[in-house]
Amino acid sequence: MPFIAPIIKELLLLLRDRVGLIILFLLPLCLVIFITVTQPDALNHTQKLSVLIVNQAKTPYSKAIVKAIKKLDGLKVTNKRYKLSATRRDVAQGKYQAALFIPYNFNKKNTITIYLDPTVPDAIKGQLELTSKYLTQTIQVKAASQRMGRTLIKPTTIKSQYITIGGNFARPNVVQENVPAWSLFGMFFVVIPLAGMMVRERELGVLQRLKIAPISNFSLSLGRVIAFIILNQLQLWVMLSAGLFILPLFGLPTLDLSGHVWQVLIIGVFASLAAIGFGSLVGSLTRTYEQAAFIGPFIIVILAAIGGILVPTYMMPTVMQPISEFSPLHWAHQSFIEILVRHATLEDIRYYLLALFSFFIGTFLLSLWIQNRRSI
Amino acid sequence: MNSEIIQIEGLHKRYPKAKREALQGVNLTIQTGEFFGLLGPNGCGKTTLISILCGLINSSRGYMNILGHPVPQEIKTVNQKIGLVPQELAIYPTLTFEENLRFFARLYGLSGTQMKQRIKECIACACLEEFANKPIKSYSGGMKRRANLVISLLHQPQFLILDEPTVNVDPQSRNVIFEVLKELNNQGTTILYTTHYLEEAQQMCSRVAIMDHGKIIEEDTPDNLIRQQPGCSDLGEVFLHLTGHHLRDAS
Repeated sequence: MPFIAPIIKELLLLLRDRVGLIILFLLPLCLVIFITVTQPDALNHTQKLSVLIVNQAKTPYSKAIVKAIKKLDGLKVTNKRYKLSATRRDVAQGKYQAALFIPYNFNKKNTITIYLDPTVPDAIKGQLELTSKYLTQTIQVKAASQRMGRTLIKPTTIKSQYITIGGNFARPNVVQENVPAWSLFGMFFVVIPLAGMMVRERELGVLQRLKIAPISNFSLSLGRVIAFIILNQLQLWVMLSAGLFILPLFGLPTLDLSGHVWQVLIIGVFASLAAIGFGSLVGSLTRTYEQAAFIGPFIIVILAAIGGILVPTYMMPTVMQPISEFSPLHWAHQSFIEILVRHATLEDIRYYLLALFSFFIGTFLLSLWIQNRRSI
Repeated sequence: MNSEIIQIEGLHKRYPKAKREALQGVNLTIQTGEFFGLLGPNGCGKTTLISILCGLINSSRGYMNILGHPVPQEIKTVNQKIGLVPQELAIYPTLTFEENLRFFARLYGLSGTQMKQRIKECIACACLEEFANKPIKSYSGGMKRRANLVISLLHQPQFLILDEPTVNVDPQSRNVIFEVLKELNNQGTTILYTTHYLEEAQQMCSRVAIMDHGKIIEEDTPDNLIRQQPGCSDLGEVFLHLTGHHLRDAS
């Protein structure tokens, strides 16, 4: 049978290519695991909405509402003795996804306000309003029957409001949330040309010339970093332009960068540094172009999955949420969300920027160390 | 009057996990202006010696002085004065020849009119005027080899190291390479040349050293070596007489 020899040959070639086999088996396995466990209904439990309850009124009726809400499934309730300003601050900063605020004058005004984090989808907002209305009415009917007070005959008003650090209450649209997220994803794919070029320089022997030229490895690497930052910025602004000019042609809202251009530029540079540091490390560790072109993107997809690009972090299973803190894509994505959705300031995102910069320094120095150790 | 451009004494190199040393006490002296051939079978230590000379790898022990500077201590100073033509085509294939020249010229600190002039001279030296603005990947093997050579000449090195520069080269390109090297040598550039083409070495080199098993086993002018070995009429026969006929497969 003439095809036996080619079969044996192909199998032998595959067995000799250990890295190729690792790529074929281990990386898809990682992808299957990470993508699956980051899905909202993974591990058989759906994510609970974190809700802050501030009951300033402390009336029998308000206490009954709090008690009923605490019994609801799907909510992770925290009670705090907060003022209105602290309640709004915690929601605006994303510490809680929603806050149910029952004021001191509840008996008089008969109004409950629900404050919402702008990342909470409209559907959940609607559910929260409906449930609150239903609960208050049920309690009112029961209270009326037990003569808890004449003032409770009038139905309680439920008001809801999205709240942000910058005081802008506009609910972010799909464009505002998705364009920066996927732009970041694209920026990190710079690993393919960057690592590929480093591997090619080694394969071609150009590295020999570079090593004896009167220029340090640091200067060469720095030149590469700067070139790729420029490329990355162009890439980011081309993608953001799609949100500004192309997506509106399909009837979608326009990306709103008003007043945030400088912040976006700064996040872009820091995200770019992290992506380039990662690319340099992949380029130093891999031995062939094929390895670099496969391993790099694979890790990026995993970092995007755990970093909240594919599925928002708050919708991930509880066990996965702390893990997302270790993804540079999460730091960059959160920076964009804070600025574009929560209208935060650069000071508010300083720790994310610091994390991105530290990631760059770590990966870049490690990459230089590997390059210096490696003989030609 | 000749002066020593390279002085090597008791040079040893052992690679990690290697059973035996790649260099086992190499002693070598090359005078200024020499066209020196370094010959030897595969795996004899030629490339290791060249890599140590250029500072690409460190020796395990031994003394080295190049152009009056101790190496590796002053390798950065030395590297500004030496040129290396690697065995591989160490050029960016997607860039044009001129773009490659410009990049390496800048690395060596050339700029402005001086850079333009040197690039023009190098393009002419490689006889590639018509193709200078075409990507290297579109070149034939011989053209690539010529380009690979002249990029190492951009900074006008005093000492040029060539690691098998004529592998897979057509006779016309080989002739151009020889002409360029002869001209450089006449102008005072010292050349260290490794090759497996022994007739080339006999024709070009003023002195040759034959290496085997990490040591220099013979060193003299090609004529003297031929005369000293009974029954040998050319350098190829001398080489086989000294290193044996058994295969030297190295990986």
